[in-house]
Amino acid sequence: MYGITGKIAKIDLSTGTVNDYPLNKNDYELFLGGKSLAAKIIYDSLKGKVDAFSEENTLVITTSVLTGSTSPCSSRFNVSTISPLTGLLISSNCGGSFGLHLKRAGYDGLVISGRSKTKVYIDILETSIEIRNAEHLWGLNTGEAQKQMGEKNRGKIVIGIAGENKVLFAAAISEERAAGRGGVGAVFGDKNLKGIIASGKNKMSFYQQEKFKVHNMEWIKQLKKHPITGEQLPKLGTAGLVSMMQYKNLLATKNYSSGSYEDFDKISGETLSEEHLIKNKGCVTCPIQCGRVVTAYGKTVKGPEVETLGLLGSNILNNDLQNIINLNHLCDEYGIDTITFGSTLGLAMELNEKGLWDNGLTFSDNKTLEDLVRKVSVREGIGQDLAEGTKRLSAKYGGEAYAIHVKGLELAAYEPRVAQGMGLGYATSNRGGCHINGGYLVILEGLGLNVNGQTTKGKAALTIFFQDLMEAVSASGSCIFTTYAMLPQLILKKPNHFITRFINKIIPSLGGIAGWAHNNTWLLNFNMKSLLPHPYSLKLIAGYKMTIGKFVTAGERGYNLERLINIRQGLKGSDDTLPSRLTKELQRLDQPGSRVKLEEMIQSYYHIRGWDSKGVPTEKRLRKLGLEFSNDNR
Amino acid sequence: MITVKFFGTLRLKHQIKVLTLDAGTIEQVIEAIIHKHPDIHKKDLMHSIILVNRILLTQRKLLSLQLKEGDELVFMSPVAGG
Repeated sequence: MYGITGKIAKIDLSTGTVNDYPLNKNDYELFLGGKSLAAKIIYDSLKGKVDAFSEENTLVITTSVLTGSTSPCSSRFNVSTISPLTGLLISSNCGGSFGLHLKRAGYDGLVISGRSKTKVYIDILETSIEIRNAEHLWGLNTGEAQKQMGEKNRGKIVIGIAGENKVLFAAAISEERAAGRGGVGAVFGDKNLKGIIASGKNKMSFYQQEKFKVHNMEWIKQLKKHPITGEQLPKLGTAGLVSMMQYKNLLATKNYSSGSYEDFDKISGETLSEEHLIKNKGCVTCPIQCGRVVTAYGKTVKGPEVETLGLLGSNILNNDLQNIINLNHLCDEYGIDTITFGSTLGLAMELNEKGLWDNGLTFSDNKTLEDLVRKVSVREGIGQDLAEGTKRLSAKYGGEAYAIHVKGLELAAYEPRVAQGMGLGYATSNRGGCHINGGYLVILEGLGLNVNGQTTKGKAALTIFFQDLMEAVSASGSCIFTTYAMLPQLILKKPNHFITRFINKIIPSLGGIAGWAHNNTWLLNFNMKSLLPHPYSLKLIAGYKMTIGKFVTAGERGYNLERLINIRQGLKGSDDTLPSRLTKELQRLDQPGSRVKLEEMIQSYYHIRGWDSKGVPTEKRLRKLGLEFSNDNR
Repeated sequence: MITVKFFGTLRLKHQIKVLTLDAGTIEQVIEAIIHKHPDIHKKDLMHSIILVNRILLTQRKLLSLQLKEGDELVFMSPVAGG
């Protein structure tokens, strides 16, 4: 076997037993790894609807073929489970180095079920997997817990106090990176699992190592010379998007009541770089280095990303960048997701403003927020309600129309009313309101390109194509940011060139072709290394007969299997929706089309996906994807 | 007078946030910027994303567009996603 260890450990915390998980070897090639392979394991492991906080719920941590290969931006790993926030499948992706260390310890993944009677952590070496006492780590923040858990050169993932208290949006933290979304940290906490530490010296084997080295060097060079991955992200980080979001009316502001914030430059990536940045940094094997190093409470810490600047900045009218940096650091230390926290604050402030919940929280007033991170984490005072996220908060106090979540997961910082494809992506994403899992079409609709965001034409097919592509890239083990180098340099460097204008204009009309190509991926059974290097890397490392077409199909396979898990958890087509603020209220009164016209896109989306009118994958589509086994359990 | 703002790596590279300049065509304003900051290349400005009063300019004869008193002109370097 090339590119993988071929071993996945099954750890039952109820019995304290460790066994090999019996994964069919063909599944590695069918599902690639990461979130898609985790979906296969969860589909097979859970036999019916499962509660997030139950012994049956399973935490699946997976690496991929590219992990540990020196492929650029490939040290990521995935954490999947049934989310306490949504009740559906959540897959949360994380940078850092834990994935690399886990694979070096000899494991492609971990399948953790049951619930320990005592507080524990898991210690993984090539020779052993031990379940150890974690009483001394309980009550510690994520930084201190990682320090006390073991040596610096070992990979770690831990929860903070929020995870211990089962805050529904608790994150798991590795170094300073977060598996942030959907409350995976709360599932750790429910299992009395403080964290995992892993290391080893296991070496990867390659199918064609010399060819891979040449291809890899070319890929790294390409990333370094591209204006986004070689310049914008290293210099400005993802924070560099704030200004563009502002000017394109995409910046979530005042609980998504607007797409622009007059004080945006006080929290922009430019200001972050000019006034706070000490240096940039990145994960292991990353040539992009998008991470920010800044100062909070006299310590050098990780700086905020664009989502955090939006949700804890413009969304709550907080123009104090140092306060956002502090909040970001505290969220990492207590172990909570900054996106859901910021969105929940936005709703709480609006509820207070409208007289529906007297909670003392006011837009523009950040004085109490740093202490509120602690209160949420220990579920104290109003923190008890906030710890439940927007869906449950609105169920208790009202405000469903402006509780900004999809399927229970709060949206990222992109206000979608002027980006129809992003709106559709949020509504249909398997995770819930996630931009990446939603296909991230806003990159075409205003961030990178300038495709008309108001039209729904072609958006269903384009959204599907990019959802499946993102799924495959993530499953391959690569950072999504590597895909930005797919954007042709001419278009980015010459935004006013006639070719750029032509491409922007024609893209919605290509929806039909994209939809047809999506359903006939045999047409794409070739590799184009400079456009999409990932499948060619998989071919050289693992020996898979991988092409662009097969790669996108693997993404579609994963996407459909995730959908099936969600349907088993109770998902209905009617859940593929958005809060009515985004579909019924106009973002700008002078623009009649500035709402998400979901009703114009959703059936087209289902049709192209090969799903029925209620959003259920048809048997024909499942057979085509090699998912016919799933019919046994439907 | 018009306000000219800079964003993205363009702003970091030249350490310039805002300028106040006489109104004119976009080409004339670009010349005025270069006159004031000779380290900025004309090409960098012409190949920027250009917005006037928050509206993205995509028309063919962009450089001859006449700006009015009080207009806000923005030059921004490309971004993609995060």
